[in-house]
Amino acid sequence: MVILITGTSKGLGRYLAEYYLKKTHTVIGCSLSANVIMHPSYHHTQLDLSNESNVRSWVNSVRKKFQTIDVLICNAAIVSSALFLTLTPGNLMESFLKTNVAGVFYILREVSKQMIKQKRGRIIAISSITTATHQEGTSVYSATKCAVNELIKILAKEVSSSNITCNVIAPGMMKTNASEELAKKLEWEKEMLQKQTIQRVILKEEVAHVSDFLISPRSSSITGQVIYLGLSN
Amino acid sequence: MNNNEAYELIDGVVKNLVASDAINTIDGFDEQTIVLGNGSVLDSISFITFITDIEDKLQEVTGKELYLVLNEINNFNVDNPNLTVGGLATYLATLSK
Repeated sequence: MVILITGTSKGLGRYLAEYYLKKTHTVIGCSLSANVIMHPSYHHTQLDLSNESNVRSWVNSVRKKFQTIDVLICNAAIVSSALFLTLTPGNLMESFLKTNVAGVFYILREVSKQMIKQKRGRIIAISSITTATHQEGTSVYSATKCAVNELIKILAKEVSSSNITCNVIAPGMMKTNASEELAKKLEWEKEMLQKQTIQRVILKEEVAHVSDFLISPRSSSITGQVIYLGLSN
Repeated sequence: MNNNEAYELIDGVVKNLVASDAINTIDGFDEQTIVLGNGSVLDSISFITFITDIEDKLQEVTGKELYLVLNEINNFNVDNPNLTVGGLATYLATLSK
């Protein structure tokens, strides 16, 4: 399969890229920073996902080179804010909207065009349980993730006739560079874990397991879902 | 690309889509044929494939990456929510310059 993953330079994105490479898939990745994955089946582009024309060009070149995109995993996001809403600067809020919402929107739009054409595809977006736990200090981040959830749920309906499924994986507290940064600033790792139903850190392997489930041919009727890891609905 | 060439490009894309069973045969295809809006010969999903193929063909013909932006098309707006082949051809001709 040809699997396109955004945000592959670190954290969950990098893990998923390496995980699917081990499973002998072709992985196409991107990140703001340079390539860190050296593998013959890995193809990296340094890219700012909030730049519409760059995303269009990139997906266009992927379409031409690989002829197909079987799976899209929208993972890239910024998690740098750890401020109460009252203290959050406007430019920080705008950068969140650009990367976490506009960036996801552009990639969804361009990749879904190809999937509609090929009449099949699997789309997964990585969100967060903070959309359900309403954790203090995550107002802007959680708002952007709510937007992602909604983009996916609506896209799921719009493309269902083309055999494309769209789902969200919303993990609880994970050990990634981004979440550790956030946890350090807020000192709320413990507090966040207490809000989870399963009160422990969620492993990247667990996300990969759900991703495997969603991209399985047997999951062709599962769409528009938000699958929480560590939290009861 | 002039309007006639743009029309030919659209016509070619439609023929390819029909040949590949992506869309049904369009009877009486001409500049007045509506491709988006009330009375469109294409459903929403077919329209996306149609636009994607037009963008690919445009790139092939002009050697440039050109993308259609629906709200930039003259004569296609809230007062006139029907996009015709002729309107699209005019837009493509302008876009390719």
